[in-house]
Amino acid sequence: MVTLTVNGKRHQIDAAPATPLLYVLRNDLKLNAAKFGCGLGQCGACTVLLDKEPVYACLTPISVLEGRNVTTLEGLGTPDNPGPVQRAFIAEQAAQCGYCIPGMVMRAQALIDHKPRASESEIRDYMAPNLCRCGTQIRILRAIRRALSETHTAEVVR
Amino acid sequence: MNAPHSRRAFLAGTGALVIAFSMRDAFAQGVMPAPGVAPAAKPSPGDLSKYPRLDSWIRLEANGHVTVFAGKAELGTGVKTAFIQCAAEELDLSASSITMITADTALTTDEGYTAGSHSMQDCGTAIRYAAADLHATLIELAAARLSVNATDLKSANGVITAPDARKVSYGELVDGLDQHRDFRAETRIKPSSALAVMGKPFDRVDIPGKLTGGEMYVQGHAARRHVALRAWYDRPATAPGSQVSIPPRSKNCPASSRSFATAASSRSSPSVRSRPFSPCMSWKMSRAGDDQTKLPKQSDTQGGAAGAAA
Repeated sequence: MVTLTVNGKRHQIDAAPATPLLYVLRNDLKLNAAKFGCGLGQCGACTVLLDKEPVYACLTPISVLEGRNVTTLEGLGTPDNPGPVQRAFIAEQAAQCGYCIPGMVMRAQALIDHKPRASESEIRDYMAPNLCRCGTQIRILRAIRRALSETHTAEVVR
Repeated sequence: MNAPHSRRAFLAGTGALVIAFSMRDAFAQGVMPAPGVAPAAKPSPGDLSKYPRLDSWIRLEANGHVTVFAGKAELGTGVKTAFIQCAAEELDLSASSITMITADTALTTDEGYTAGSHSMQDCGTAIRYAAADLHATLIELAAARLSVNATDLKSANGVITAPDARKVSYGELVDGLDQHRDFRAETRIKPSSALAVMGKPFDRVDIPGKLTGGEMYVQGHAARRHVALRAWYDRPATAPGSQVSIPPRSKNCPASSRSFATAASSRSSPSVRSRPFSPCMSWKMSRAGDDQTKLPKQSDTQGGAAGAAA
């Protein structure tokens, strides 16, 4: 039994300790946003946040997750109440098939948390591990710039 | 063919092909028949030729709501949104009054694969003509009810208005409307100059779900699976020509293979976790085993058989 905290909820998971987090998210917790892409940590479709860091859920064994917080796309908002990064992606219509998008949004969330004033080249460098085969990158970059600038605006209002 | 294909030559060739196709289809669909010229006998537009019943594609309810059915799936190309635009356009109805159902085996037609740029050509065309046929019928019914000429009626947002401002809603005309009938071949769609919804920017209806972990389809399979198995390959650290011997665990488990794949559920016992068979595997190295320069050639010629164990 491993205790996982996912999107603020604690779960007792009955799985082998070496089981990658992605299988637990999808099979046990029915959180289907994170996708199986390559299973090798090379495409980013499975990206989730571990505490505030982006990790590949397909490679991260659940045995190292005790006492840490996992955030998936579902933890950022709902269709009726999307979070700021999700709103920016919707506003820019930044998805085609959508397979890479949950990973893209999670990595973008980490970027905004760590570097709220990231430059264009910093955005591109930070997002480089996540691949999109549809060709939505330009819209994704636009959405990230929108999310960053809206974060600044929110700070000013505060 | 000794000369290498250049990208330019390839694009030039395919470009010509695409143009030839689109011209033929445009005429075949009869989008813009010349006024006063009787159309020649031709198959029904799009997949109406396979499923001619109007209510295979579109259904109007007494509350004025319309449900549209497509046998094509939304794979991220935006067709679900485009189908709504097709129906809204020909029905003079707001998109919010339309429920769009795509690729549901219990409800929609079977339009085969969603591939090859056929969704708008076959399904979008059928929806557009079915909607236009339904709209024409509603105008005829309204003309009879209001005792005016059909050509004097105007429709917008699901309401038909007479010159003297009397109105009748689509929903009020459902009583007595036969929707389970064949498409009428004389149906005409709007000319492109009159389009108000199609060809205009429109937020894709599938995107909010894709941004929040909702169910979705991708090419080839539904992205939501009930249980995903873990699987991995075991290969020797040297050349792919090597063979592995494994004590057989089932009749599906080969005793000897060049590579070995394993699948396991996350419920598997801790002993089946990363390399369950490694202790009992013995790799028989080929003579060229350690010559890395020969790897690509060996990979091409030898390939590998795969076994599976649960």
